Amino acid sequence: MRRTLSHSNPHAKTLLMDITHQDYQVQYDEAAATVRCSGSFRLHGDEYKPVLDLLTQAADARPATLTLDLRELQFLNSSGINTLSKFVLQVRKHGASQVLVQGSTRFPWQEKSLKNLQRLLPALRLDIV
Amino acid sequence: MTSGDAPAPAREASREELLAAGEALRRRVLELEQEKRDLELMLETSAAHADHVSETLESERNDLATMLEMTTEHADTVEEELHERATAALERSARELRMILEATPAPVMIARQSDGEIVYANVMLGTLFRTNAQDLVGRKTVDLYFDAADRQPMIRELEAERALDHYELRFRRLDGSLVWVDISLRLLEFNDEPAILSALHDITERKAAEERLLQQVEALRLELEETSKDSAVARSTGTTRFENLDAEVIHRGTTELIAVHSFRGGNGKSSITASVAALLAVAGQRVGVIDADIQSPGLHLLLGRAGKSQGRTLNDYLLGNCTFDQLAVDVTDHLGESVVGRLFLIPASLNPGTMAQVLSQGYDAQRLTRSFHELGETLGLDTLLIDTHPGLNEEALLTMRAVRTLIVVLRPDTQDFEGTGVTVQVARQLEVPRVLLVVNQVPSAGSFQAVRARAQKTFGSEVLAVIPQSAEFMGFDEEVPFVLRHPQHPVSLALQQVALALQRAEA
Repeated sequence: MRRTLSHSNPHAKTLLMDITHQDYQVQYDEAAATVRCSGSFRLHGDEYKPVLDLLTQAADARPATLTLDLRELQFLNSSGINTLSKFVLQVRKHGASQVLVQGSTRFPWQEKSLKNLQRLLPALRLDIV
Repeated sequence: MTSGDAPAPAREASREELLAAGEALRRRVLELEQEKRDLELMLETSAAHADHVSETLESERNDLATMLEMTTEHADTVEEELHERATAALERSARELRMILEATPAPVMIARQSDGEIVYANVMLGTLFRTNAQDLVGRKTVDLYFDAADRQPMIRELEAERALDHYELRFRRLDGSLVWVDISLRLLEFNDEPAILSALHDITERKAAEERLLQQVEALRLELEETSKDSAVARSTGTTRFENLDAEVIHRGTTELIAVHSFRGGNGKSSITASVAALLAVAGQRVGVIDADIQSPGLHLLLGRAGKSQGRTLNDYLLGNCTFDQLAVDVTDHLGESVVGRLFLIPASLNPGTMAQVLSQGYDAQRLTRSFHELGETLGLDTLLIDTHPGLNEEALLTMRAVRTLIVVLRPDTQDFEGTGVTVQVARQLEVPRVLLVVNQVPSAGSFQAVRARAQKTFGSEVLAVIPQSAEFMGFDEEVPFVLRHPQHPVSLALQQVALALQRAEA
């Protein structure tokens, strides 16, 4: 789904709200300031650009708390974790939002890899259940 | 000159100049001091800026290093997980394969391709070899072969095709007894090694039955040779094993004698015979068709004689009540108008009394086969089709010896394949010049090409046609034969191939 923000911007900037693929999905719930990633991400390099763009938009909105819901994220490859760390750096640069990352112990890799995001942003809150 | 008037103004000027110079110097000093302060300030600013840039670079470098470490750690974690999962999946599929093989009601084994050592045997394999399955594991397959020389050609064929089906092979049990198997092989990876999966079917009984039958056929053939030597008609003086009256009949006339046979009833033999006869007549031939199925006649139904008075039948001839040429009924009109050729039917009796009489009294089977040619001559036939009684009985064997062409009709199922194998073998032993196959009632879901290839390979005979399954064809009782009424039907197209092949062969 694409939504167009045109009321204030004559250049009609396109805002990507959802990415839906057979293997993976990204949903941006603007009201709840939450990005949900689910499924299995096995993309390469540039293929992550739409995902990073969506995350950047969420960060640019500078909410008090920005939630990254990864509880249904089964698999993420190295380029994927790289994308998440770029997003965290962006939030850190803005210095406007607190980040909450939600994960699940059902996917053992999450505990190890998501914890590492705190090395980039010590204030990041991690909630893995 | 007066003394002391000139030096005073000179001293005055010099003092002003000195003051001015002093002032200039003072300003210069101030300027320099200012410049110095500016320079100091600039230096300070630059140093602060450099410190800042350096800090930022340091921070970014740290972030990048962190990201690299994170990514690497993540990759390691995920790799480890995937590896564990892959290993578990492999173990699971190996377990499942064993479960499937254990539950399979056929003997199955897996042997290493490199040296033929058996690495897996299911319980059924143990039963086949009359031992414990575990007792077979670790043995070399070649030690189980009845003749070790059988392995090479089979493996060569398997490696060329990657798969091999219905290969007949002899094994020797551990107690020394012989077991014949129908074996199917596949190449696969087992425990990370190239291996051969074999599924076996015990055909020892069938092979024994075939052997007994072939012996009976041979005995019958010898008996016939003996009797025909005494016969007045046996004038042949050639040197082949089969010179006797029937051989004489085959080679004397111009009528093409074609027997249509099947191992089992109900597979469409009569329908195919009637259809081919009709097609040949439409093509301009003079065609006769004999219902030689005394025990279960049905050809008349297919040629428009249902419910019509029968007149003389084959039974009358067999009982010696009439001559053969008095039997023929011209059914050409049944084929519709403008048919150039002729079609004659020689019906079998539907009269229960006559049927029983023939069957109980018995009849001279040789008299029947001897007359095929007489009939052909009398009616001036191009082709005489003989619709035989199914199975391997005396009439069938005698008919095979009388004809030049035998068409065996079969369905693509195991029973028909086995029975047809025996029929074809018997026909070869009787030296029928041409043995042809028609596969009927083939489910349209399967591959006709595969059925044709399998039949051709199994029997080593030409497959004239593969006819699709069709309730309309098998059940037809229309006035005009199905094959003429629906010429574009897939069944009709297949039957036209049969008729064409026969015409070409005769030409």
